[in-house]
Amino acid sequence: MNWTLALPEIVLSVSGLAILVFGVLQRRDPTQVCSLLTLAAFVLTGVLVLLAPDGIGYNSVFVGDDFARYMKILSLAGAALSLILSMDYNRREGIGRFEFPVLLLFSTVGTMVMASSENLMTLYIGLELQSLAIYILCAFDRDRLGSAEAGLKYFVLGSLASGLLLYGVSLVFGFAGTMEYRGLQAALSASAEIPTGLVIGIVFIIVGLAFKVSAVPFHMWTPDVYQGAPPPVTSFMAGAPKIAAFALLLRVMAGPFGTASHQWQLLIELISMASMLFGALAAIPQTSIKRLMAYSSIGHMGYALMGLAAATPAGMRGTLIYLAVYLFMNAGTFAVIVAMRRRGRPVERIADLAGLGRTDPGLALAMAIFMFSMIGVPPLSGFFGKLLVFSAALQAGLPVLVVVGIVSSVIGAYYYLRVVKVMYFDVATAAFDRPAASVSLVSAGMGLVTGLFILLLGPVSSAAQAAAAVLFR
Amino acid sequence: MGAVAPANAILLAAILFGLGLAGVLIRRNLIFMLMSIEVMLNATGLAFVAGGARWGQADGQVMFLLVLTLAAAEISVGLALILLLQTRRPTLDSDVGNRLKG
Amino acid sequence: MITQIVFWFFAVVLIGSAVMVVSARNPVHSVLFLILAFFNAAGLFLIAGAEFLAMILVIAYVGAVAVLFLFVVMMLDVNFSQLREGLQRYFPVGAAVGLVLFVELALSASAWRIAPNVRDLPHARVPGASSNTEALGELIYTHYVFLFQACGLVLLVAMIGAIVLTLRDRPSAKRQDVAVQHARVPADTLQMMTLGLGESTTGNGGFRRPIGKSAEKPVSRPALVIENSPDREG
Repeated sequence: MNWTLALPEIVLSVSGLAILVFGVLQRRDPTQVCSLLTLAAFVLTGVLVLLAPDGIGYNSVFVGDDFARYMKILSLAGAALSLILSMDYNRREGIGRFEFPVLLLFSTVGTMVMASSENLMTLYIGLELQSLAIYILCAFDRDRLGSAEAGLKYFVLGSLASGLLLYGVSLVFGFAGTMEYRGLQAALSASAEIPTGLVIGIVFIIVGLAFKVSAVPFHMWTPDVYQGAPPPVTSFMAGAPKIAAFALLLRVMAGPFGTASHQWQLLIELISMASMLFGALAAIPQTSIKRLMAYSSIGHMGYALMGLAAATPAGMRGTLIYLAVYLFMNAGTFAVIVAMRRRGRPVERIADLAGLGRTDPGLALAMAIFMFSMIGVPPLSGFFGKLLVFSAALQAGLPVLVVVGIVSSVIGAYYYLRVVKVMYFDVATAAFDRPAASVSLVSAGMGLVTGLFILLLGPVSSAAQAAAAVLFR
Repeated sequence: MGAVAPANAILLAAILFGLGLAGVLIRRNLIFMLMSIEVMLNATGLAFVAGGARWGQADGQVMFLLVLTLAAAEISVGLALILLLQTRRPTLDSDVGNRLKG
Repeated sequence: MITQIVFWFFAVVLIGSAVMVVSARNPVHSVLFLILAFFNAAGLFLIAGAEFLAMILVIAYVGAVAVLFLFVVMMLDVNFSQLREGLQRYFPVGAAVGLVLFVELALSASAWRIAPNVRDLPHARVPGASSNTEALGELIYTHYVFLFQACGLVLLVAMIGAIVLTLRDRPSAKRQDVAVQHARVPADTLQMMTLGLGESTTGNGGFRRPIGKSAEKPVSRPALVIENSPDREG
């Protein structure tokens, strides 16, 4: 058995255990040291992911390939960025405890296991590991009612989603007799007619995963949880777990259920359209920047699903690139949200951004870049993401989807531009507290990545191409 | 399931799952919601074992063991969250006192 | 034939108790019916030849999860006024649940060996294993060791979570600090005084008073004064 396949996961888990023991034994407050150690573990794991071999191992529950590598690097990057944001935020809010980086680390292990799943059992366990840690992280600011409520709300709806997914898995197992992706693929392509029970099972799996990526109509938890959870946790939630859930969607839908694509394609199309429109329309009346970002993330998931709806290698590549683009825009925007503090207290209204263009031009410029990129203005990164999924959907013969996408982009431009207008043209209120160097670093770095994405397009797109090709082996 | 047709067991699991799902959606008390989730997970466990028996595979039983473990972990976190919220808020009604609205 | 009857019996009671779990007004009733539901599911597993799962279901769910639920229900003072009304209110429900459980235990004991052919089924992938438990152990610890370990991580996360969310370090809580106790010397805590005959302790400040306003060692300075008697000295 080729156990080195899972070496990155093993190393990350073992270093998580070591950091936990270190934190427990330390007499003085070990939070900062543990956070730095966790960052180092993320970097080390990233290197190992790049070096990990390809192949299927562990009695075919685990797979290492280009697709898994791409998704793992993205989720590690998302986790590391959120961790950097959390170090300063948690200290200022007085919730800095060393369990935070450890839980974040284990959640990342869960996302990596999800990305490498080759069996529905692995899928479920990775999903649970990832979500369980996030439920706890949401309620981490336990003395604030909003945070505890967000944790509980996410917990109830998240475990409901896990239950639905699990029931879908049990139906698939009951009707196909295996949970291995390759076995399922063989079973499905061998039979001329797919049993109804199996189709119901696939639908349940899609519903469970749609819940995790917060696509309409399974989005209702998103705004409340985004608003209640501490912003660094929200930035993590919007990044790595969604990427991992997308990894599962792409892998499961394109691989084992690929031959049944006519059965689920319409469902994904509808979900995608509804998410794009709802994300654009429901965000308009929002006054809280966190809720705005929640609706924006619902919309972005709709665009990313468009590539899956196309069910072609080009569509999958578009989705993969869109996810990478979204991850960096999102982390940058949340860095700005973390920097929104006045007199030692976090503020979150959009009106609080007024006059940021004069009081902190650098931060305002970064935020403006993220907003324009989310609209899809060239040559920012969001433009390329949208371009690729739109063109893939057109090639796959889904013009309605593209029209809906363009319409909702135009509607979305309204509220993104409103943020820019508030920053540059409204009368300035008091300046924000001076943000920590780590937060400025993240916002500036992500601003650069988003602004100059055209330079990165080549490598990212070739990596995504290789990853998408694996799905259609 | 032995001399019992697998279809019956799958039907039983479906009824149980539906009951649990209805419980989560209808009941507003968090404790009842958690218990309904337990019923749902139990139903899936039944479906896994029935599926395993149908195909002569031990995978179903292994999966049930994993589900059992994870359900226990999930419930312990859920109850911890309920306890946490209870110290802040006097009611367990999931609709009352909801401050996250917009 | 008996298997059929037993299956339907368990199935009907399982559905009935699940309905009660979902619809009961009293959370304690609900937990009791949840236990009944678990027992019935365990009975079904016995029929399917999964005796290990049946035992684990009873041990882990009834023994741990249901008891955890009961703990929390009691702690949360849900309907606490009703709960205090005593055993009598719960006796009918409890007795009914107990009776059904007893009947089922008897039934499953008689039905266990009905279908010997299904007991071979779970072994299909593990040749050489002689029982269901052995087959499962073989699978979990060798084939699916990755999943097994990942499950361990989930349990660890749950443990960290429960601690992070509910454990509070209260500054007012009294804890034993062995190092401080060992570091105490008589000079920290005792103050020797000489009282003349007929003098009262209150005149000299009483037994309890703060001594040594030094802030650097607050722990090792209790405000207790012990004086020796002048009679014994003289």
